[in-house]
Amino acid sequence: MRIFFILLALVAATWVILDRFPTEQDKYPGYTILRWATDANPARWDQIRTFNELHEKDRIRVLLQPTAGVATDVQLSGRRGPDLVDIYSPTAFFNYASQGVLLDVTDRAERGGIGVDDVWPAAQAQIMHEDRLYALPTNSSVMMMYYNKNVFDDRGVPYPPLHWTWEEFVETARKLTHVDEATELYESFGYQPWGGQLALNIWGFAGEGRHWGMDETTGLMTRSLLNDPPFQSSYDLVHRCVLRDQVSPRPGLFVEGISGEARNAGLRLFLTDRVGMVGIGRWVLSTGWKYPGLRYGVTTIPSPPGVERPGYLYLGRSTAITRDCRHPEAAWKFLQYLLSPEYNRILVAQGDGVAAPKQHVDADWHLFQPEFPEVQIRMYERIFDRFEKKMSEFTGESAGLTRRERLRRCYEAWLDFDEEKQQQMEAQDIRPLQGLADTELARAAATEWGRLSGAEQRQVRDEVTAELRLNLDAMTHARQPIPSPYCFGPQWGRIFGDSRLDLINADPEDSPLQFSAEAAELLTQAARRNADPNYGREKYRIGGRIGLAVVAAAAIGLVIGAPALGRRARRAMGRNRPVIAGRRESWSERLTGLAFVAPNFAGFFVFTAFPVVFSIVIAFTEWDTFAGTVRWTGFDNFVDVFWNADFWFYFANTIILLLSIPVSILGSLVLASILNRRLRGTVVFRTLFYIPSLVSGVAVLVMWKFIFEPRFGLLNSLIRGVLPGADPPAWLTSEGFGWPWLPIYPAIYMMGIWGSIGGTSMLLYLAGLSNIPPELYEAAEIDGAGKWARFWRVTVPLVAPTTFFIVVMSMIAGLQGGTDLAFVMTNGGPDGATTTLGFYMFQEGFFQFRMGIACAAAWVLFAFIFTLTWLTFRYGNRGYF
Amino acid sequence: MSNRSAAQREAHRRRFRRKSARGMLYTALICLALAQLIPFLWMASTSIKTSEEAAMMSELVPRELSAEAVREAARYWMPSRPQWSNYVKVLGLDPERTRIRINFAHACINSVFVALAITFGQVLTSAMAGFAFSRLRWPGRDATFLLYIATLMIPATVTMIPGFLILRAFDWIDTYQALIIPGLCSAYGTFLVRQYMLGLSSELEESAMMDGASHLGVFLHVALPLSRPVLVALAILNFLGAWQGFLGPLIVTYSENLRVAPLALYLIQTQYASEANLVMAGSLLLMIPCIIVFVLGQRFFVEGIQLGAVKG
Repeated sequence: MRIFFILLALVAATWVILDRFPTEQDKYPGYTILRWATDANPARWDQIRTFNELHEKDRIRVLLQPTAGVATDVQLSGRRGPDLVDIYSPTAFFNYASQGVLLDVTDRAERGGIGVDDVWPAAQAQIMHEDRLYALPTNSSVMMMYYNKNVFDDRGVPYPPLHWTWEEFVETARKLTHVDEATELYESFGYQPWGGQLALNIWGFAGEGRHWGMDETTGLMTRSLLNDPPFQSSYDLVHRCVLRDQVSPRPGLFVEGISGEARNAGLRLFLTDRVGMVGIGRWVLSTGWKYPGLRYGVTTIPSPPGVERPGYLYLGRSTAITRDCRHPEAAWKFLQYLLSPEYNRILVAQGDGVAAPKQHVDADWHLFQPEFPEVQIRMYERIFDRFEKKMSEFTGESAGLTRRERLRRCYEAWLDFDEEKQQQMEAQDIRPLQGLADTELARAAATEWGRLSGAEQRQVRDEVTAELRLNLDAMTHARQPIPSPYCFGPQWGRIFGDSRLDLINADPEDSPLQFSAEAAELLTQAARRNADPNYGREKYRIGGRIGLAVVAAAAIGLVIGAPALGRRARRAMGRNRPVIAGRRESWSERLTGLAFVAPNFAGFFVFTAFPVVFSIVIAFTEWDTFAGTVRWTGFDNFVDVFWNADFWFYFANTIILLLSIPVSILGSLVLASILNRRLRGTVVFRTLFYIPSLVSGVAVLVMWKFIFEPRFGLLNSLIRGVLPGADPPAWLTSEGFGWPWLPIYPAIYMMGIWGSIGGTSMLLYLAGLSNIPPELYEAAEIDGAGKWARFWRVTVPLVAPTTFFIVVMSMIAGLQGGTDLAFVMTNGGPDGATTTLGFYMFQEGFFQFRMGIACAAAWVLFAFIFTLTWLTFRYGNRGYF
Repeated sequence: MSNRSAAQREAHRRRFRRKSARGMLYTALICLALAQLIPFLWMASTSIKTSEEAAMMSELVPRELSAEAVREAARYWMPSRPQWSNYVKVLGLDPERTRIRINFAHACINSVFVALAITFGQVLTSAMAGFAFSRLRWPGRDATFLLYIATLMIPATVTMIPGFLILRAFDWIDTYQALIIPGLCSAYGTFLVRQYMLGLSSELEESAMMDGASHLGVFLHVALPLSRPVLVALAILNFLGAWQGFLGPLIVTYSENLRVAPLALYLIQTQYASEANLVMAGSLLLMIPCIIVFVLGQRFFVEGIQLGAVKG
C-alpha cells in the first residue's frame, strides 16, 4: 500500500520539476519555431544564429535538431518530422521527393524570382525532381586532392603538380608510403579515399562514365553501367592503391578509434601526418584547423589516361521543407536565407564548402576573409615556427625528427616549465599550440594576422584566393552521380559498402574487372526488381511453394492439434489452478474480478495481444510507412527472408555471438558455489558481482566502447602495460589481419561474460545450491571424493534443473538480442559481424522502412526460438519441469 | 606423548589448511570482484580527467618498481587535478553551455518521471490483475490467463513495429503517452504476481471475509501487504527496465523536451566522442540510480528473481 503512495508522490514530484524546465515555446514566447534536422557540426550554430538575428522582427526561431541514429527518417514516418531536413545525396533526395515527404516549393520559388539556374548545375540533381523544386542547396563542395606537406617533406617527395595523371599519382603515393623496418608497421600511407568511401572516389577518378543506362528490353533506366570501361579502370586504380601496391590504408583502418563520426575519424590519419593525400571537399579544413602543425596544399584529382580533364565530383548538401512542417511560410524564409549573401558569407568563412548561388562567386568575401580556415592554418604555421625556434633551445637537437615529433617534444618541454617561466614566455607570445582550446586557437590566429605587414597580408590573400579559385573552377565542371529512379536502398549499400568491397578483395590478385562486372549485374537486377515487383520471382517459385506448404501444414496441424493442445494446457493449468474456498462465487466476486483485470487487460490487449496479430498481418504485406503504401504480397516476405543469404549470415552472427554463454553459466555456478560457503561478507560480494548485470543498456555499452578504444582505452592500455611492445588491435573495428577470428568476438565475449557471470544466473544458482542438503557433501567426502569430484558429481547434477532453466532463458533472450549493442557500439560492423537478427529487423523496419520484411523475419525467428525451446524441453528436460 | 603430539599436529595442519583455503577463497573473490569493478573504476577516473588527459596514451601498469613509475601509474587512476566540473558540464548546467549542448539534466528528470510512472502503473495493474487471476473467480479467467501466458514467449521484436504503428494511429508519437502508456501493463508482471499470490495461504483471506471485508478490502489489507516481496521485485525490475529503455524511446520521441537519459547519452557519445571524460561522466550518472534502487530493495529483489524462476 505505502509503496503506491510513495511512488505516486514521486511521480507527482518529478512532474512538478519537469514542469519547471522551459519548453522551446516557453523560451521563445510568441515566436514561430522551426526545427532543422542537420548534423550537429559546430559550424551550424553561427549559421542559425545569423538567421535568427535577421528574422527577429518576423519572430522566427530556428532550432537545431541533430540527426543522430535513425531519428529523421523515423520521425518522417511517424508523421512528426522536423520542419526542415538536410539531404546529403541525390539518392536520398530522390528517395524523399518521390515518396512525397517533401513540400513542393516550385510556385513559391517562381513568385520569389528564384530560378534553378542560380545554383551550380551539379547541385540541381539534389533539388529538382521531375521538374519540380523541392529543396535548395545548403552548401556545395567539389572533390579535390588535398595533400599534407609535412608528409611530403618528411619523405622528401616534391609536391604534386596542378594537373597530373594516374601514373604520376600512384608513383607519388608509393613514395609517400613508408613502413618502419623494425616494427614492420606503416608509418605513413600515400593516399586515403575519403572517409573510406571507395565508391565516391571511383566516381571521382572516372573522368567519364555514367552510372545508369537505359535497359533496351524495358526502356527503363534500370541498367547499371558500372561495367563501363571508364568505371572499371577507375575501380582498378583504387584497387591498386589499396591492395596491390598497398599505398592506402584498408577500409577497416579508416574508422580508427571509436568515433561514430567515421568521416572525421578517418581524416585523423591525414590531419596527423600519417596519410599524404586525401580526395575530399574543402570542409576538410573546417576540421583541419584544429590540428595545429598541419601544412597542406591542394591540387586537382589526377586524370585517367587519355583524358584531358579529370572527373570533378560534386559533394553537396541541400535542405528541404518536410510535409510535416507546421509553418511552411517561415520555413520558406529559411530556404531563401540559404541563397543570401549573409548565409553564404558565414559558410565560406567556416570552410564548410563554397557558396551554392553562382551570383556570389566573384564577391570579395567569397574569395577571401581573414577568418577562412586556410588563413588560420597559415597563421598557426607561423606561430609554430616561432615557438619551435625558441623552444629548440630547451629541447636540444631535433634533426631527423618529423615536424610533428618536434612539435610534441617542444610541447612536452613547455609542460615541464614552472608557471612563472610559462608566463614569461607567453608575454613574448611564445605559446604551444597543442593543448589550446579551439577558441584560443582562433584568437591566436587573429592576433597573428593583425601583426602581418601589408605586403605579407597581400601575399597570404593571393595564395588563399588562388586556392579558392581552383575550387570554383573545378565546381563549374563538377557533376553529380545520377541516381537511378529504381535503385536505392539496401542493394546499394550491400554492393558498395566498403566492407563488402574489401571482402571481395580478400585476394589481391582478384580481378577488379570481374568485380565491377558482377556489381553491375547485381545492381541491374536490383533496379529491375525495384521497377517491377514481380521481376525475378520465378526463381522463388519453388521456394514459395515449399514455404506455403510448410505454413499450410503448420496451420492444419494447429487446427487438428488444437483440442489436444487445449487439453494439455488445461491440464497444466489444473496443476496450477487457484484453489479458492468452497463458497459459491458471487456476483460481487465476478464483478470485482472483471474490474480488477479490466485496466490490465486493456493495456495488454492494445500493446501486446493485438500487435501480435497485427504483426502477422503486416508480415503478409509490403507495408511502407515512409511512403504510406500497403500492398498485399502473400508469402513473398517469408520467401524473401528464407532465400536471403544475408538473413542466414545474420543468423550465424547471432549464434556466434552467443558462444560465450556456456562459459558464463559455468562461471556463475563456480561463483555461486564459492559464495555458498559460509563466508563473511557474502552479501557484499554478491552485490559487487551483481552490479555489472544490473546496469545494462546504453551506459554500459558506451563504457565498453571506450574501454575497447584502441589508443587510450583501458583494455589496450592494460595489454601494452603487461606485454611491452604488443600491438593490440582496434577491437571493435579491426578486420583482423591474420587473425582466424575477428577481434570483435573476444571483445564481445569478454563483455558478455563480465555482464552475466554475477547476474541473475548466479542468484538462481545460489537459490539452487541452498537447497542441496549438506549431508550429501559429507557423504561424498567420506567416500573420498575431492573438491573437484564433489563439484562435478554432486553440485552440477543437483543444480541441473536450474541450469536447464538458465540455458533456456539465455537462449531465448540471446537470440533476440544484440540490437542495442550494434546500435551503440559497432553499427553492425566490422564486416557485418555484429549484425544480429534483432538489429537486422530493426534496420529493415526503421532504416529501410520495409515493415513487412521485418515482421516476417521476426516470425521466422520466433518459429526458430519456439522449435528450439520445444526441442530442449522435449529432449533436454529430464523431469525438471 | 608422541601420539598426542601427532594428533595435535594433525589438527594444527587441518586448521591451517582450512584457514589457508579460506584465505585463498577470499583472495579469489577479491580478485574477481576487482575484475568486475575495474571497468567502473576506469570509467570513474576517466570522468574526472581533462579531455587531454583522458585521451592520452599512458602507462597504467608500472613498468618498473621505481617510485616514479608507480606514481605515474597512480596518476593514471587518480588524476592530480580532478575535474569535478565535468559532471556539471555533461549535465548541461554549465552556464555558458560551451561544451555540451545537450540538456542531459532535463533528460535525466524525464527518465525518472517516465520510469516512476511506468513502475507505479505496472505494479498497480499487475497487482490488481494478479489478484483477480489468483484469488477471484470470474467467467473466462483461465482462458484469459492462457492468452497472457501465450504472449510471454513472443519476442519483443515482433511487437515493436505494430506498436509503432498503433502509437502513430493514436497520434501519440512524440508525447509522454508514447513513452509511458505501452509500459503500464505487462503479461510478465501479471504472471509474476499471480504466481506469488497463488502461494499465499487462504486462511487470512477467509477470516477477513468472515469479518465482512469486501474483495477490495481483502486485496488492500491482506493480499497487498503479503505480496510485498514480489511487488518490490517487480517495481525494481520495472524501474531498471524503464530507466534503461533505449530503442523504444528512440523511435517514438523526437523532441528535446521528451528526450530520455539513455538517448541523451547516446547523442553525447556520438557528438562528443573526442571528449571521453565527459562521456564517461554521463555514463556514470546514468548508472547511479540503478545501483541506488538495487541496494535499497536488494533483499526483496534477489528473492523475487529467485522465486520467479523457481515458480516459472
